[in-house]
Amino acid sequence: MTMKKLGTFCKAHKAVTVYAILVLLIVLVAVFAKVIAPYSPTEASLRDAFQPPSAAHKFGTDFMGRDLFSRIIYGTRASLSSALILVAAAMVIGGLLGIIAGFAGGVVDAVIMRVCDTMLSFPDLILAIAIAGILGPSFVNAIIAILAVSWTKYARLARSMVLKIKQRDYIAAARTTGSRARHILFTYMVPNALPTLLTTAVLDIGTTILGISGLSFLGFGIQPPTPEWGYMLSEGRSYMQTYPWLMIFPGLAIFITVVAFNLLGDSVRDVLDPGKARKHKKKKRKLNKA
Amino acid sequence: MKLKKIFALLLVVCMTAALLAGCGGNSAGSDTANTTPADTAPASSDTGADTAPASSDASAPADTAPAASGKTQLNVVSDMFSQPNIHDLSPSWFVVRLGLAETLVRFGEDSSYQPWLATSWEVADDNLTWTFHLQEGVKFSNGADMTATKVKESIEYLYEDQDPANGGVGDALTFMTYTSITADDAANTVTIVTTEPVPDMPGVMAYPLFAIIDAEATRGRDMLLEGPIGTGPYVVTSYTDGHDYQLAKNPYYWDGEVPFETVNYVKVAEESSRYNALLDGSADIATHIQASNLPALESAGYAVSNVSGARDGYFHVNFEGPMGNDALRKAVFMAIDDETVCDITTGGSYTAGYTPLAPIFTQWGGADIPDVTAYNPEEAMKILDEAGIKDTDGDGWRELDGQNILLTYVTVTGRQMADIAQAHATLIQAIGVNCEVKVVDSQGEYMTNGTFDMVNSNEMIVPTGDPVNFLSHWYSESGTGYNYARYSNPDFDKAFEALKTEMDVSKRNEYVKQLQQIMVDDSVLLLGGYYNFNICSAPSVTGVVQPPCDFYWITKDIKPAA
Amino acid sequence: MLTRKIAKRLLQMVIVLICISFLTFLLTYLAPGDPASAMYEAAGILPTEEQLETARLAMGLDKPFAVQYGSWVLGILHGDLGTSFSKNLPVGTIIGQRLLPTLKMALLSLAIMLVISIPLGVLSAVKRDGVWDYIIRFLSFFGISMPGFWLGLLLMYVVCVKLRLLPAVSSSSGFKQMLLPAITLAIAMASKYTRQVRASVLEELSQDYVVGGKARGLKYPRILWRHVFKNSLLPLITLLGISFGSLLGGTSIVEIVFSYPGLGNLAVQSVTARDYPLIQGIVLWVAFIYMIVNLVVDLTYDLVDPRIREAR
Repeated sequence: MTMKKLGTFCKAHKAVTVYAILVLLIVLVAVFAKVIAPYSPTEASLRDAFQPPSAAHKFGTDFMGRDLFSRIIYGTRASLSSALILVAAAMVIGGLLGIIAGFAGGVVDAVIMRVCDTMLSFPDLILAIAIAGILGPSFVNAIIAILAVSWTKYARLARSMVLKIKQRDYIAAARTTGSRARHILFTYMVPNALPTLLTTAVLDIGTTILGISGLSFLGFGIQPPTPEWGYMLSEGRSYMQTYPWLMIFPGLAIFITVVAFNLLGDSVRDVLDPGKARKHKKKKRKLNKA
Repeated sequence: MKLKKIFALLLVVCMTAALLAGCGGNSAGSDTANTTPADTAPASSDTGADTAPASSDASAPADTAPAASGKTQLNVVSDMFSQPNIHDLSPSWFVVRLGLAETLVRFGEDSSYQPWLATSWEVADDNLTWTFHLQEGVKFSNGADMTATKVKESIEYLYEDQDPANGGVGDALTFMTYTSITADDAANTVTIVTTEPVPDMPGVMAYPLFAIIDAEATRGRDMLLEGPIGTGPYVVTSYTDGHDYQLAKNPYYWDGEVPFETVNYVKVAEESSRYNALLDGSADIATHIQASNLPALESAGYAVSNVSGARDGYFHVNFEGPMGNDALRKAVFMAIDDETVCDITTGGSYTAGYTPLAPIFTQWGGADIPDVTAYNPEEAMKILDEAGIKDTDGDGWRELDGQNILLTYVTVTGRQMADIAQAHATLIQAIGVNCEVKVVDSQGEYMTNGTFDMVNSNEMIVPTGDPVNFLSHWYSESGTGYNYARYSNPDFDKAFEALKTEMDVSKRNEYVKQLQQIMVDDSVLLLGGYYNFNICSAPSVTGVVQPPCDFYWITKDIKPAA
Repeated sequence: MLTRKIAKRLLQMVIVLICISFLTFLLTYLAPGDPASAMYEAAGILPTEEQLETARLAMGLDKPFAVQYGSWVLGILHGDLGTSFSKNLPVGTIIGQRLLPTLKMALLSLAIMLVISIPLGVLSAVKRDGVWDYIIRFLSFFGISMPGFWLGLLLMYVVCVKLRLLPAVSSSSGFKQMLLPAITLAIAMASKYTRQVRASVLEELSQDYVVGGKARGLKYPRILWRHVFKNSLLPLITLLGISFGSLLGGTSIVEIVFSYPGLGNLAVQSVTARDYPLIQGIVLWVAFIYMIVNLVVDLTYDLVDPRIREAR
């Protein structure tokens, strides 16, 4: 995309642009953590523990005398990378399985969809907690646990999209002209399903960050001393009375990041799903007239 | 029509919720709400004071506490929970802590043996035959008399359940084994003949596992669900596993009037919630309040009963790993700034020290043992340099015999042990030795398999008033299933064997001191600190005192404030 | 027609249940480590090799996977979920103790949520693009992005520690003791529902009958409450059902923060203790109840909504 095109796009979609910049800022914080953070996130100075926020330590220090601000800056890495990897993996795995299910039909479809149903019959984090707990506490296991549950959403979505276009003329034409299945899959099916899957993925990042930090909070995620927001919050909660900043700042970090991604997700949906937006506008006009 | 249906649905949801919440409040043993007046002094005046009870509202809890005559329920919050299983090692502690059952002997405030269900005891010259004289007029909570025969049956029931031949775990057998028990109902005595000398026999009888229950009546019920029939001031009415106990007064209690009609015991894992529960009046007693909150509590008129030394938070070092190297081990011990770790990192929940048994046990002479590994990072690095443990490949970490060292702490999070391990790791890294912490749910597997360099243990050091059981961790004959450090020293073994059979108290103390000296010299036990255990109580109750061993929480002496 | 639909759904449910039971069993089968030693460890005992060997035989660990799975399923069909490792009680008994508190919390938090979200959602839709709409949308957006455990801790800090309005320790025994965790749960849900209510009210407002009604001179409040409101609440039922089902599975994080004796708290305890039978039991139960609730909701929806009924 050339600069000019980018400029036009930004002008046309101001909300997306603003929120994308916000998210970009957070990503930059993660990338340049080393430059931004005044201290090393794991460097402890035991005698300087539990210092309240000050000029030297913007967010104070934790029980090991580590700079909380630096830990939160570095914590962006763990939260962002894990959420992005997770959502991407869920989208690719779920999307492909869904497309295959829709395209192939029959037994393949039935098997994949029953597995989906199974996973979907667990509310919330309960299955993830069980998986993470049984595999043992580690960050990778926490991600696997959430992935095991989250791919199903994409599979269902992709399948329904494929079913919708499967009967269209051009697919039928491609079939009769003897195109190979793989060709049809990647030329027609995947590109068709991609925008919706992407929108869902962007919308999902915020929730995923919440899920991962929740598992960490419960102690099923990351191992110390790696900085991770959920775990930091969990460490800080027993000092709620005396050193409240230990629980306030990590929570704020999670909150702000999730807000940014949710805002971006909402605006991306409005752009990629223009039909819906237009319909609303039309309705509004109608209402006004009335 | 549709609208009505939906509204009906919503209404039903709302009403059911209200109903359930409402009638629950009236059900038995759950009137926490009743004892907490609705107007529990919203002390909004102290919003400025972060550490809660400013002295101005010190009287608030006293105001809200109902008058002595009106207070019929004792509310307790604690961080611990076990099932009422008197025949299981650590759950048995719970049975005694809750005041459900009592032992023949009890530990006094100075850890001495005091009479309880037995008034006195003596051992014959053979050092094997112990006779316990029982208290008169003791009744079980079902009204049955505690006769000598009942005591005999109670101990026999324990050994039957514990016998590995019956699928038991055999814990009781590690305390003592006997050849015979005889009951003399006329003389009201029980005589136990042990298979070998048990010097701490009164202590064994004071251990909760040996609490006296009505064996016959307890066999007839599901002990795990209903609890045993004991002689304590309270009985279980119901409990939710892992969460709460509802207790009621034992109408047949033998030792005076039971002060409360009911007891509501709730497990609250969050430290800050327990503290808050004390302050807002929903709890009369709370265990394990974080040390940093204690001064504020005390100044607000709450009673804090604090005991240090009965429990060690420490690490077994693995002698089969790199820590087997004497120079490295010594340097690591010297790298630990235990004062800072205890006072700052744990906020004073631990007291620093270096002897396996706290110096407050003067009989074991901890204070006379010099600290050969006092905090001295420069000296530690010198020792490492001299032993050739240097950084030769320039990665910033020292190597041992050309091999990279990575010391691994394996620890659980309970009692801040993970915090201590992380602080230790930082200090060890400061002398150039790489070190990591692995937080696990349970360390047992690591201990037995030896897959650790340091593994945490948080242990009562004198469970029977005697450290012999604790010290056997380092006895080479104990095997890796108990000697987790894989430590072996003939001098230690010799002194330990002598201790095991010695009956004379002063000679025993001498052996214990010797063993401590060896352990300190060899840098065997890496102490995190002596745990400061506390029980705090609101002005609404009196008589909450914590003896060094934490077996007695809810006692007949805890009464409503006058 | 309806009976046929129920039968079909039930059949589907049975298939999924079989899948769930298989998955649950597989999960613990694949878990690293030896279940026999896990059993002793959960009970806090360090076993000898002999004890382990005996336990392995007793647990049937020497048998092939299919046999182990078969006998486990057979047990469940007889109502036997096994015995908890760490608590030494039947899994069914332990789960049973948690059901009433979990149910109470689910109902109370749903009730609070409805009280918050319905008025706000309607207001937001009616005053579309007005100040109230923006404020409400803003708040609901923040509610969705709020980590539940953080919200819980903050509420506890403000309401219990600073203001001393509610007890810090929750229990299922009284309204006051349940209020704070219920509010914490309700806030997160209310954000979602407010948006939903707003969207569906807007949808209804644009229907022709509203326009027509106005044209015919019907009073606006009458249209709003008699027609728009009731029609727009229909889609809520499905959502409510899902929320209810998921609340019945327990809400681990909030329950942990407030020490509430619900199923989620138990789930975390069981996982921490590696209590495999208890984990299996909870997972199975939660999935089962979730499916039942969803089925009931679907059927209710059919009964309530005439459009679907007519379509049949």
